[in-house]
Amino acid sequence: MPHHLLKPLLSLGALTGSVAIPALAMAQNSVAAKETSVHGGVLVIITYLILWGMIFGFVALVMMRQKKAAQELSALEKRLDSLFPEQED
Amino acid sequence: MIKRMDRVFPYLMALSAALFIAALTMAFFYADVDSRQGIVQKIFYIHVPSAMACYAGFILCSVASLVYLLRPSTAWDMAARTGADLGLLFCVFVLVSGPIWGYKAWGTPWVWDPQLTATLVLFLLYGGYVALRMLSPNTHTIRLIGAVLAVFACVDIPFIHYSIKNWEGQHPVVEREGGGGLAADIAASFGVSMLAFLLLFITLYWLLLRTRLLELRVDALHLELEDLAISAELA
Repeated sequence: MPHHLLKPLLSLGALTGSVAIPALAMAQNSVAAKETSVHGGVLVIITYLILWGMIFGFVALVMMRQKKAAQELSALEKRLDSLFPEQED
Repeated sequence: MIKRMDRVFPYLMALSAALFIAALTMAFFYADVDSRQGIVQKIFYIHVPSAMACYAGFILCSVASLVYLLRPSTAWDMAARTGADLGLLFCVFVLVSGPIWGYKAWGTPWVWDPQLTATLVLFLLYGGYVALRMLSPNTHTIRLIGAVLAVFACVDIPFIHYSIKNWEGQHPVVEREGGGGLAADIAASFGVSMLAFLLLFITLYWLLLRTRLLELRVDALHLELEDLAISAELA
């Protein structure tokens, strides 16, 4: 299989720890890798999940604020209608 | 300006999402696994752009605060608060993703390296600004105190950037002086990731700023309506 097609599969394998590619094997034999027991792929997945969690959490909070502001606007509209009923369309 | 930005916003959002997909694909399927660090090096593609987004947010906050000190207006105050909020979001992620990488690469999540320590100080400074603005009433005095704090806090940003050059430390140096540079595939993936984060930052900034402007308008309408109600009762 050509290398450019194989690369994505190797990356996936490296992420899950199921494929031993030469570069990764070298890295896994490094001093740093020996000092920790958690697989690097697990740490990468956790980090990316945290990023997406934070971004979507932030967007959800902003959307809640927008919803609240929209509710207040409709409440204001109702109050305006009750104050000046003759000006209704 | 607001209307023009509102028209561009959906395209900006779509482009940001597309670039993020491209950045993720390139980081995992195009860039090679680093021979020294292994798969954990993939954290670099989100850690460094997050740090840049964090700087962008805090610099925006400080510049808008400086303008507020010279020409006080609600718009500049809102721009400053929005920058601080977003900067803090990315700063928290930098302080989380860095130790996760360090745990694998250094064998320990945290070292009191000059760059790491200065980043923690930056988080505390702007965290203080955000806490002050969230917990205090929105008076002119509080806005002034916040603006002065934001302007002073900005001094820490060049300190972080040049700390590694002046005091060395354990934090990796890649593209700056003393670093070994990046391989072509890693550099391309990193470039796309930086661009994706830049667009994400602009998108989120506009989303939050627009919400703040809406809330401000609602508050103003409340007051106007109360005035109208009083006038109607008197008449």
